[in-house]
Amino acid sequence: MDDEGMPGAAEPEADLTALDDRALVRACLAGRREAFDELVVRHRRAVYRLCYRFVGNHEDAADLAQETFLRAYRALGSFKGDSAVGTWLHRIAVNLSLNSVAGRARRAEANVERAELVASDPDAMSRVLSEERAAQVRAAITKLPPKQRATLVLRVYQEMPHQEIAELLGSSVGAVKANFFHALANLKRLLGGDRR
Amino acid sequence: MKHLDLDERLVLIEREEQPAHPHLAVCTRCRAEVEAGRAALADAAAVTVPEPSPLFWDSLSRRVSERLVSGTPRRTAVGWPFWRVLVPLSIAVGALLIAVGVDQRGRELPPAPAVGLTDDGADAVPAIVDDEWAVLVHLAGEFDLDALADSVGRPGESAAESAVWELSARERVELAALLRLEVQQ
Repeated sequence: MDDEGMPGAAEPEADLTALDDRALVRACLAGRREAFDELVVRHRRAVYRLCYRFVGNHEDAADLAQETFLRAYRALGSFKGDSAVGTWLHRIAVNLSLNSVAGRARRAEANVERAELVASDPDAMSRVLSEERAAQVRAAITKLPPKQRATLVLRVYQEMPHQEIAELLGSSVGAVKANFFHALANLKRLLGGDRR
Repeated sequence: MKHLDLDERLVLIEREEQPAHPHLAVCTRCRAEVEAGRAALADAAAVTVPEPSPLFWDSLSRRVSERLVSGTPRRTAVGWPFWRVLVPLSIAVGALLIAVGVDQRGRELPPAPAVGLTDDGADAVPAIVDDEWAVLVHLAGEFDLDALADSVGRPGESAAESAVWELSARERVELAALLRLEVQQ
């Protein structure tokens, strides 16, 4: 996720693309709503990808990413600047995803179309098998209990330290480690123990 | 035999380059757990997020922007000139409502501008011929005047009368428009 540099002054007429994230927040709070558009542009990819890791499909990830930014906009006044804007957005996305996965129908994209050319193209066959395996893993991840899923996503894909995950999820470091260990064990069980 | 604790197992799972723990050579249970954990971790780490259509990113931005515009809080959409009008008018409305309440209980009101009276005498209900005053009278009828007076304090009689009767025609129009807006919301 993009990070900010030194906080800059949110001059009313300043070029938004030249402002760092905190200055964009200040500009937005000062009435320049288009400053938030610039924040969305900067962080939309990272937020979407994080949401996708949780839900395993494009539609839900897109909805969650959109909701993340809407929540962030509404809560912009409470952003204290103690953390990077990206980290703050992560936190919102994780919380939304955690709340979402409990009630949302699991519809991970597990089906991969097998193109007819597979039979005659070894590379295509390899790609399809690889993608099929990836789809199986994504589907398995979406079946993990929410806390285990969150821990796995944050640890493996966001490469967060256990301590940071604990703070984000409101757990102890010990609980995070246990959740991570059980997530891996359950993932292995869900995948049937086979590796291709 | 004492097995590896959780921390030790996680370190061995996440850092395959670690020197083999001597315990793994003699404990099939811990070795199996570590190997299973490594396999699951490798499977998970190999999964990438499919790249959406290049058009998706702008679409996402547009959707967010549209939702923000449609749901922008009024305080961010309205500039300062609005408040320069709203604040004095709000004070005037408060004073007006108190004055109407006081006068309804105590004495007859002097005739309001542009409000016609029927010919039925002092007890007759005023016939409202002015839309702006109709809105004000309607709202005043629904207000808890005692509670309002207690909360803001009772102004001097001259101040109330001044606020009520010295509104210009333009101010009354603006006040009525604001009140209609509030009633609609």
